[in-house]
Amino acid sequence: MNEQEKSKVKEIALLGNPNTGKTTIFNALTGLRHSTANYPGVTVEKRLGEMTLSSGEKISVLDLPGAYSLLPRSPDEEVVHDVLLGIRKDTPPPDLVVLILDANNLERNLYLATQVLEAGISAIFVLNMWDMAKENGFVIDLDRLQTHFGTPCVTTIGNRQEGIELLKRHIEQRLGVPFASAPYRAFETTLPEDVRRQLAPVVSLIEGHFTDRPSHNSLLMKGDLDGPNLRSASIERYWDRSAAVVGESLRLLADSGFRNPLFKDFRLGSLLRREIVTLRTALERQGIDWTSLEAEKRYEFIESICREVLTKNPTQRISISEKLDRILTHRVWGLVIFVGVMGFIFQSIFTWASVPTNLISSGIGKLSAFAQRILPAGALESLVVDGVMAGVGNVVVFLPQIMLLFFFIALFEDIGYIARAVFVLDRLMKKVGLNGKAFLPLLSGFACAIPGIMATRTIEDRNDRLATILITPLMSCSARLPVYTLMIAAFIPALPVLPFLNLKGFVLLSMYVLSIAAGLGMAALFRKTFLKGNRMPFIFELPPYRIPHMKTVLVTMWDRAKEFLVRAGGIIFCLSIVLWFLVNYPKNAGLEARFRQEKTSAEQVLKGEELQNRLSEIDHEKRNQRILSSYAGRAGKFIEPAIKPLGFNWEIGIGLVASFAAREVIVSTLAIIHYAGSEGGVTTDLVQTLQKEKNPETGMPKYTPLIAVSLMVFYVLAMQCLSTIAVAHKETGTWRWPLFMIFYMTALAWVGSFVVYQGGRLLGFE
Amino acid sequence: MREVKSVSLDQFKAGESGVIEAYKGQQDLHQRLKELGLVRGTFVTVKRFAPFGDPMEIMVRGYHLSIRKQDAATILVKRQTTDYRLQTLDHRKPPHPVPLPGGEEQGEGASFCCGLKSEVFYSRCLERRKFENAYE
Repeated sequence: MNEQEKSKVKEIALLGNPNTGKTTIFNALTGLRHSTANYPGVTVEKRLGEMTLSSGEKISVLDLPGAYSLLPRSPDEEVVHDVLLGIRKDTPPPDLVVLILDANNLERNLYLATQVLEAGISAIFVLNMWDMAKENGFVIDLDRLQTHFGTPCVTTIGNRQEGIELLKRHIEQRLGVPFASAPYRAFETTLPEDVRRQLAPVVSLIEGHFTDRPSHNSLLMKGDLDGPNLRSASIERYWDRSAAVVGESLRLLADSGFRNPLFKDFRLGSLLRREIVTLRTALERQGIDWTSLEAEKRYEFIESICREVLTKNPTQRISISEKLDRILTHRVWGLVIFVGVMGFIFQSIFTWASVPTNLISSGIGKLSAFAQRILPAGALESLVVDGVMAGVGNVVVFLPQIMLLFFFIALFEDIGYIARAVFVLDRLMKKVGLNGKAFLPLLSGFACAIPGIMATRTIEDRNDRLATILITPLMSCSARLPVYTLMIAAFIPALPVLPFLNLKGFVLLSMYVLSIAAGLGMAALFRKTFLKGNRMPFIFELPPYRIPHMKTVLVTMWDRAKEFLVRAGGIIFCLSIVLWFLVNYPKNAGLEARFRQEKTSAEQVLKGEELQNRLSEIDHEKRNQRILSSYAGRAGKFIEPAIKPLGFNWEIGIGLVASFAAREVIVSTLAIIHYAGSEGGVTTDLVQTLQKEKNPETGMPKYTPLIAVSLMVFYVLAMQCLSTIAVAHKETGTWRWPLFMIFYMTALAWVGSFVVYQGGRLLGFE
Repeated sequence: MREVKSVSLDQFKAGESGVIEAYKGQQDLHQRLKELGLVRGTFVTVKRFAPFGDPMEIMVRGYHLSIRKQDAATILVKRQTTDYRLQTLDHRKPPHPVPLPGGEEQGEGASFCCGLKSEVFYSRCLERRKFENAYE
């Protein structure tokens, strides 16, 4: 056992309230050596890094999610609770906890800190944002703090990397010393005696469930009571055990939904439940509020400590945060600035990102051409070029936009503006049954719904979160933009509508307005019907504005981008392969033979440029025929009756089928179907091709502006991106909601297009 | 006899402050608020309201919290201009006398609350015995 312990890699955990600068300190300790994964079974991020001590020893650093208390309110806090109390099998409790405290609100931060100390884990207090605390007039007696808690206290200014070296030394020191002192029991002693007496049965019932730790082991020697015959035994014996058990009993008492894992323990669960219910009834009879016993008593206790260690000198100057907030949450200017900031983010995502996007596109194009040359023509070449490279292209081409979006979100979050945006928008969101936190997922949805859906993790209420997930795909993502661009370029004339806006721009804007309106409308509908409820108060912290720490921002951006690549990238890639298969198979042997013959005969007759033109013509015809006889082609023809009322023909039908891999694929699919392409010769621009297409039966144009608008509306509302479905499945843990998403959005899109097309026809637009 | 009645927090205007007296309604909804420090006796200041009038930003224990008016309506606060927190929260002191509908004043309430002398439990007793109208 000792040998095992010696060779085991030591692990420390960073823990604290949200907004305490934990991430910055984590990055400072681990450099860029960290990985992000998920805790098995939940959608909570597990950030694990590595740190090298001065002795050369490598230790593992776990960045636990921010939490306010060990009584969990969200999956994040559940994970923190389970890890620290040793309930999670995959993540044992750390050897050392580094508690990051915001020196500016010590009281609230000490709530979690005292709970953690009671669990008997060795700890270090880090008082971060020390510079701001000084500015705000706080005077903290560090020596007294250290003496009282028995833990070293280090002051840091995370943004300036100050105090980090000292922290590292303390970590090393603390890890080197075997933790011998008893767990922190001071809070426990402030509980009134008869409350403690009443808690005793629960305490002894759950004691056995906390992992064996050196400190516990030594204490277990003293107490020798096991089993539930405890009411008659004396109190002293119970208080030999870890104080966390007492705290945990209070939390079990307060857990009105019986969500704690201990209630589900097959040996203990029902017995515990009975004890707790008995205790609750008894306390109620005594007029004691059992839902917040811990909170009330603990704050009383914290205040008594703070009376000794904390003083605040009044500061005359109004803080910068206060001044900024007066403008940024101003009744008028606040909104104006908000709209401006959003506009700026949008603009940059669509314009700045286009430069690297185009570079990537052309790069992939060149790579494809290269592959085409070196690989022998045939199935493999087709797979690599049309399947794999197109697939990779589909993913990677999004990356600049996604990264820019993540960059801005991380930047504004670090500054503290995101909380203000949530604050400003909450009222509007409340009208449709959501809360202000839905703003970030919906905003992200305009770049891509996948990070948007992943961002809904911050929404605590389950139904709230579900409703947000269901409507995020309605936010017009950047994949739809090529569709809009094509349709508008081909069929919408540039008539002036307003002095600075012409019809083209107006239609584009309307698509976005439609998407927002549809999203909010559906949210309201869902929340009124089957996703009701939101009993919990909606509260969140408004952290002071801070100068952003660019390294933290960039690291966060990169982490999110990586997560997107891993989550979505794989799926989009696989789907592209599937699509390639659907579009190229089944191969008609006769067809292939015919084209090969045409090629050989062309080579015999023509030469030079004429030959090249003819060959590319044959190529286009070959691809065209292939797609028509492929599974995708058949599917397109098959759904034609269903989409005719929307003004679509089977060619668009094929495009719709192809869009399931990625929406913008319809553009290239239409290009193939109509022989359009960028190789010179007979073929022309897709725009002009589409404009010229005539219906062979009637002689009328195949595509009209009305059809174009109908198609755009369809794309606004339809659920096509299967990768989104896959991510939604991962985030909700079931197939029920993703399937519902497909169902309701398809229905919505169909109805929408129908109304537009038929309505337009009635009004004489055809 | 007292002049200052408790008012629900949503009725406060920007810049006003007070001390939390009690909570109205279902107690488990208030758990998180209390864990964040909004327990009885806590001094809170209303900072501002969002552009559309809701939510409100309050300052408590040195940090800023956003809370919707409908949730603030469940917090009963006694108006007070200065934070006497450090003086009043000596938990050995007896709780404030509160007038009951019958006009009779309860003093320390020691016998009232089954031998528990803390003011925290005192307020719970009152709420439990449905004397909420004393705070209306």
